[in-house]
Amino acid sequence: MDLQKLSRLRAQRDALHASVKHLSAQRRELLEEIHRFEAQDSEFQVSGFELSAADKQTAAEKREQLEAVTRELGEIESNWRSSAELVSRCRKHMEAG
Amino acid sequence: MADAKALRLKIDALRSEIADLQAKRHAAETAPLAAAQASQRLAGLINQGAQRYVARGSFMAFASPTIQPAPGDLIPGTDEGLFDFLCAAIGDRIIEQLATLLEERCAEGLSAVERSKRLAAIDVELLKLGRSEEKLISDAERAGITIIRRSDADPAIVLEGN
Repeated sequence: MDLQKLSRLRAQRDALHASVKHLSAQRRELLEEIHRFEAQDSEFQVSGFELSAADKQTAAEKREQLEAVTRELGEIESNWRSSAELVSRCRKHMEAG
Repeated sequence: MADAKALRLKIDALRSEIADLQAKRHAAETAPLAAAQASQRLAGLINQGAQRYVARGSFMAFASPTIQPAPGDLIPGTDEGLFDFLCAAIGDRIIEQLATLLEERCAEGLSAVERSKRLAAIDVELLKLGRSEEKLISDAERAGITIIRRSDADPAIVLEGN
């Protein structure tokens, strides 16, 4: 029973880790997109132009998404760390017992 | 969904009780010794010092018909020598004065027996709460609700449930 429980805990830890990786990748993509908009905006400003209303709207949405993803990532990462620590303590407990 | 919320609230309440008990456990672990016990330790140390001084016997230089005693025969020139001399000379006064201070400052002190009784009672309660928490989490898992366990959860409790 101990082993089954430990393997379920490990599966939970691994699922959280996968979510952390997925959210980190999503966050990186959003950051890149936002940087692209910002670079384009600076370039346009030099030439006396500005981003279209649609692009400005998209950039604002990306920023909102980034905030949400960052928040979620923080939460999941903290859960993953807790889970990993517990798995490690359970493994040591089993080895000792 | 309402069930999940109610479950989380129950677990939060249990965790808050667990955190309170853990704080009480820490307080019991780190509370000072009872004054009587602390004074006993002090008296033990002072008596050892006095015994060392007597055993060293350098003060017998004063009884020698041939030696002219020097200060070092009265008070050996090391920290421990000075300590031992003070223990032999005024040990009772040191014990009395410090015992009064210990009495004042160890009002909340615990004897070894009291401490272990208190810790054992807290541990029983922590075990009970930990098992209730684990049961709720396991029931939630079976219902498809994931609740992350505390990183400091007791492995024995986590692993004993199914």
